[in-house]
Amino acid sequence: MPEELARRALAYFGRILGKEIPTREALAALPSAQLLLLADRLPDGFLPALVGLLKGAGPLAFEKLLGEHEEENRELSERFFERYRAMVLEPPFEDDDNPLEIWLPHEVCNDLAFLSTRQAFFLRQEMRHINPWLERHFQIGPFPPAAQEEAWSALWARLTSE
Amino acid sequence: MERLVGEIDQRMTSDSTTTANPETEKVTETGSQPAFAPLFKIVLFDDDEHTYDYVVELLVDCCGLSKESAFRCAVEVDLSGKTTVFYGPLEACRRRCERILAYGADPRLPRSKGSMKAEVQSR
Repeated sequence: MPEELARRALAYFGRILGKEIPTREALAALPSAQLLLLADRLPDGFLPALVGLLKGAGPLAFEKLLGEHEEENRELSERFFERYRAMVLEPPFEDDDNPLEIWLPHEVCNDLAFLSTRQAFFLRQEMRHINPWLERHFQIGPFPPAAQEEAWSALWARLTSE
Repeated sequence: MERLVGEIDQRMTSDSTTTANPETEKVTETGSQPAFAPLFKIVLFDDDEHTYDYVVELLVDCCGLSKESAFRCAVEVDLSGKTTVFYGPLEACRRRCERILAYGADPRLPRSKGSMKAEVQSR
């Protein structure tokens, strides 16, 4: 996070808590209960900034977000992780979403060096996603169940022969 | 963290059961050796080539963590630079660590070129 943005965020956090938080170190030094109270009062969109400002503060920062095992902090801690998780993780795929269409557009397949870095991702996909993707973009297949390796080999052979 | 360790320990115990060595069991019966094999752990290291989504998916697939626990590990590795994701006997740790190292790049980030770094350490 750029320093100017960090300074403004810290000033905003300080106003919310009613105390000055001049530096990242001062933020990380807050007691667990205050840090979690701050997180609880922040709008969801500021949670990544809060975590970003705590980054590099060492394992203690994470322990504080966990509530330092104090029962009185548990509810705030669980609420923080629930909200932060909803904020930063992608929404779950719908049944008809194909991860290959989303994360491996066929245009990038011309770059064989790049494509080779996606082999493990390809092999983890289900055949119900691999078959329509190969058929649509490369007119290869269909392959039987559990034939991910065979499908990858066929794709690779096609691309290297072009 | 204790909650996380609790879940991990539970998995460790079930893993120990499935990989129990008859020789170890025999020795245990005599009461002359500790009941459990030496414990090891897998430590996952932070980088800027993998998203939270990737870490959660990785830890659910390779270490059997719940999505909630996996997300907390993702936050810990982001904040602290490393996190322990599995405890267990050496062979179980090695097997899982190999899967982590072979998990490949994060498809969400074009700059991601490979797996996250992880290693087996003695507990």
